[in-house]
Amino acid sequence: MDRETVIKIARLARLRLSGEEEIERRTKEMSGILSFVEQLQEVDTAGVAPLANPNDEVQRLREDETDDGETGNFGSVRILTNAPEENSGYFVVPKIIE
Amino acid sequence: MNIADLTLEETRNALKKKEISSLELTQEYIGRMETYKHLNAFITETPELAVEQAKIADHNIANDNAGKLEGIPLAVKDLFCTKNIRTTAASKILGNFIPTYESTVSQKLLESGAVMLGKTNLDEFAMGSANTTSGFGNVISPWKKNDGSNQELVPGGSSGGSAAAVAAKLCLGATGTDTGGSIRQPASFCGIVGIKPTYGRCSRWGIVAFSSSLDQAGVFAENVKDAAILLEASSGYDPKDSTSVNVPVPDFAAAMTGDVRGMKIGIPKEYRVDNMPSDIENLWQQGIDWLKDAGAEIVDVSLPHTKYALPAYYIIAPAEASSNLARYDGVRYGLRADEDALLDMYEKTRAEGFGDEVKRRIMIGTYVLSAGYYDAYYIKAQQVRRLIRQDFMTAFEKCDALLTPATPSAAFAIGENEDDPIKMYLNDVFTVSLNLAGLPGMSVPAGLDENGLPLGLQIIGKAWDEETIFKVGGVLENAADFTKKAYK
Repeated sequence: MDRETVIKIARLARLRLSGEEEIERRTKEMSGILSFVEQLQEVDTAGVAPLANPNDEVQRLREDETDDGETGNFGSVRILTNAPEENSGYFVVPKIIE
Repeated sequence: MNIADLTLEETRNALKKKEISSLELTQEYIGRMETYKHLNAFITETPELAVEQAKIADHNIANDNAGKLEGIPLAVKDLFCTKNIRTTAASKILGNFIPTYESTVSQKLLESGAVMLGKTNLDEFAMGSANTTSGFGNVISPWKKNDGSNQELVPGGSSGGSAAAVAAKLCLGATGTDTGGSIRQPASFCGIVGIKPTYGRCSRWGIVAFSSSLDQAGVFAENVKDAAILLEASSGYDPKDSTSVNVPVPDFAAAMTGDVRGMKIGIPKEYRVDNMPSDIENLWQQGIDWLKDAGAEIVDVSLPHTKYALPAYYIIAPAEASSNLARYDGVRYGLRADEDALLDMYEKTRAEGFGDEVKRRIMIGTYVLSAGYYDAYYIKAQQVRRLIRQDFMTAFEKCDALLTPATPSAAFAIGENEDDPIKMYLNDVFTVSLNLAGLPGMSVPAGLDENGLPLGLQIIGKAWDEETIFKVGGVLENAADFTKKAYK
């Protein structure tokens, strides 16, 4: 783990780093955690299927139906209730295109 | 008689016989919340709502229309969305978030007639083992060491507020969530019962997501029977959660027959970790002896991949967290930092809104999922996850349940274990495997350490067999006769 990687990861994660002190601290702690998880490499996992979910045998799909009412809880008015900024039924974001 | 001395079951009976009213009961608990405010167990208190619900409950009881929890004052971890009540996940990024919908678990409790006292404090986004990462301040355990010192101790985490509230009797029970030990570890630290059921038993709908394949709701109570009553009311299939499983919900309390004769209890040798305090070693042996005396057969079992559970967890949980927490972008809800350019707005919002531990996990998760590292870390961890689950399946061919310590230490002082993230992570060494395998587990208070602090024993069950856990838990509880309380 080096400072360039930390800067790149923070960018990917959309986290602003506060400065050199934070870059240095994150480099150190990420190195520590990665060397802790490194011990997994000693496990022989050849031919073992990854397990994404403990109940992965019973994954279930729902009908592809529109649900904009009380049951789905995402009526178009209520979805804007907690918006930091809204206008005419839309979320407002900083200008993207000049 | 002080009505706060009654258990949940006793309270329910007293309400039913109209010896007490829900209104006086609720007012007593609101008063206790005031007295113990310094514990900081709640982020949002809802006394007005509680009084209103208590009056309705009394009306329902008078009209013979009582639900299973009618008039019982409970608290809800502030990770469960509650309609029109602020839900923060203990994060500044959700500091002003008021859900327009109710989580399935809290909805079920309300439908059973429960009275809602408020939203309990937790580690930010449930990431922590000491409740010291909350954006709303630390929770202080109601327990003190017996050396006369007034040192403030952690309640454990992440569900520290729920555990402290139940231990100080600020409510008759509380919900929690458990991703790596977040119900069982605080239950152990606070001398109460906490159960994480099988993954898929309780709906995750409306619970702020941390690590979706590991998160599972559960409950805290003062004793095993009360936990059984609460878990039954919280459980059940929910079409709104695609990982909720359609299986019948048993009467968990009815499983507490007190009879474990002939039952096989497995003791996994890998849980004898280095530097385990002798108090915990001795308590574990005591637990084994109690079950043996009750007629159970003790079987040695092996879970060979145990030491890889924490490393696998610290890849999978941060990976899922980094993905789940991508939604906090300042656009649709929550905090928004003031910046003119969109990317700047995202980065500043997230830098200001998230605390240090949450950022740490997002960074690790982003790294292990990034191009070139995905197979080496994430897929590898998921393969190890399958081996860990396989270990349990093999062990359960020889036994009905497992008995282990719940935690590698008793509660520690606020500020301890903060110098190195790994030290804090090691708190979950006995609990985290169950989340990876999706199995149910309960911590039952079983004794005190040399400092007079509670220690729990963990009972691990087969998938969907919480009934055996409650049966064994009831027997352990009787044998341990753990009567020390953290409150007056």
